[in-house]
Amino acid sequence: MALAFVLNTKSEILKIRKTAAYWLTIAGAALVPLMMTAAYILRPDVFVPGMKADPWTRHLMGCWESAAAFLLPMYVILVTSLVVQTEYKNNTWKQVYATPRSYGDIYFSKFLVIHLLILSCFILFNTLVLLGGLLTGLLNADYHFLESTVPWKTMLILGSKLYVSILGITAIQYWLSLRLKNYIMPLGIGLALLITGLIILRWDKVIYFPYAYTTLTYIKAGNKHEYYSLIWFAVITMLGFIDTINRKERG
Amino acid sequence: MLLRCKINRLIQNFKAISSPFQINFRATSSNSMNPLVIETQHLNFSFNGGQKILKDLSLKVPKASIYGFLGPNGAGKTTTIRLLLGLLKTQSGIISLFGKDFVKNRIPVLRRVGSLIEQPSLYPHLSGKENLEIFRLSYQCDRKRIGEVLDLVGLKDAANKKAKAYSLGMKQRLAIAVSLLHEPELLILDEPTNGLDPTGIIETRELIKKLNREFGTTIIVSSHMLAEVEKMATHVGIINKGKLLFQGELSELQQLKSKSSAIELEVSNTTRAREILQEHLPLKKVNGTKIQVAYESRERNGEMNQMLVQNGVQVYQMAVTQNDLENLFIQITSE
Repeated sequence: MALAFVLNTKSEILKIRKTAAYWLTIAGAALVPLMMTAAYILRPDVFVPGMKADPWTRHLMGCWESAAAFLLPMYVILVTSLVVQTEYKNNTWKQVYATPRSYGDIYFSKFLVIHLLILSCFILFNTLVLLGGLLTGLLNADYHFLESTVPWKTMLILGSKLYVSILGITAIQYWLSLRLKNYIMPLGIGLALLITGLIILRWDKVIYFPYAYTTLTYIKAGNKHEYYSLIWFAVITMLGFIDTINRKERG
Repeated sequence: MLLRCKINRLIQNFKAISSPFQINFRATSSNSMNPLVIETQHLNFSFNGGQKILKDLSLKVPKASIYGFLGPNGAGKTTTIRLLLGLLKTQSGIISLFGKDFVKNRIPVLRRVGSLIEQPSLYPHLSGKENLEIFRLSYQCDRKRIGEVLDLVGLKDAANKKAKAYSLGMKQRLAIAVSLLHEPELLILDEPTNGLDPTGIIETRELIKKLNREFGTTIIVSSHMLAEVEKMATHVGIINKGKLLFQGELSELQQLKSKSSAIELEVSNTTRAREILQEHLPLKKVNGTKIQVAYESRERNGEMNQMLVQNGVQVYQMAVTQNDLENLFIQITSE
């Protein structure tokens, strides 16, 4: 059973190799750190004064500032859609369901692959943040990247908190992507909800709204919403699974 | 209404003609040597409670047979196949594969089944080999099977090419390779020759026969072309509008064909012609200037002509009526 799950997850990983989801993970992770690095190198006059003290934390927070509120949840919405769409687009759900795999295996192995992609994106993002800082320090000694210590703990904690914050969205988007054959639908719904989250940010009930959680984490609005994100994740993941088991038509 | 009459007439004809064969068939199917690999009992299905797609379908596919599942588009073939694979939820009736209830034994049953449903299910961004690897992991079979199935379907040279660069025939063959990875005892092929060129059709047919002959694989292959089924099937099931109209060995269907085909003669004097022919041949019917006689052989046709002419009856026209198997099929299935 466990072996089958490992092998099938491996098979799911193989499926998304060189697909749009795969490239999006790389491009999505690289976009902000590369742009920030380019900006530091090209415009030291603008950036050097602000980065005298603790350049690494400023750099890290600067990168997340652009990424956390919109780009990260948007990436999650896109990648979830794209992974599921691989089956719809190629008309392969039928073949997947005709293999001797349990419904749990099919549902959770694909969901796990989506999370592996998201985690890879986090790791790549942070790696590029580090490399960007190093490169900037090497090219321009006015930045004190090389002499300063890297705030590993902040990096890890912020990364983990943001990951927890998107868990709720992953479950909702996964269910939507499984149910809606046309990939524009989960994408459109996700985008609309994400924008709604940004609009209602000042509302006191916003902690119940999963699409606003990454912004709440970034602006350090407590950690209550992170627990809610876990609840959303657990509940929707289970509902989506029950729905998968009970579907009348597959593929 | 007209159709129903036709069907009733055909069924009556069939019953009258083929009762000995039916007994024969029952005897083989209950024989322990040939247990049923697929058996459905009173399968009914409708989408969203609407019109019935399948009506009381009871399929019987014996072991080691090539079962041609024949019917026009929209007859319910794909629905039946989807039910057999659990892609649709059974609404009423029982499906057993290898003598086991499918719903309760989905995974162990699917381990013994290979399938190709409608168009090939492949990942175009991956090579043929990688596509096979994906399914190999799910079936947990040995890595050497990839080479073996590629060999079997003749795709060894294109193994590292991306599936999107494959021709339709190659895609179809790769999909068949996928279905063969785990050496299934039962192969379910839905319209495997759809969209193939004549060479592709022949190759696929030969492959199906080979699998059946060399590995004893039971194969159910759906098609809307009678001629194609006739060339490979040992058993046939004909479905129309969700109902099974005929089920039995191919020979039974062919028997039905020869018994129901006739020669139609247009003559100058039907009364006289009738007198002459009656002594030698059973007459089917007389209709104005035309007479119908049971078809036996070409030589017999020649003799018939000679007899009539020698006895002073002019023969204007002589033709085999359109009652061959192809037309039987059209008769059964057309409106």
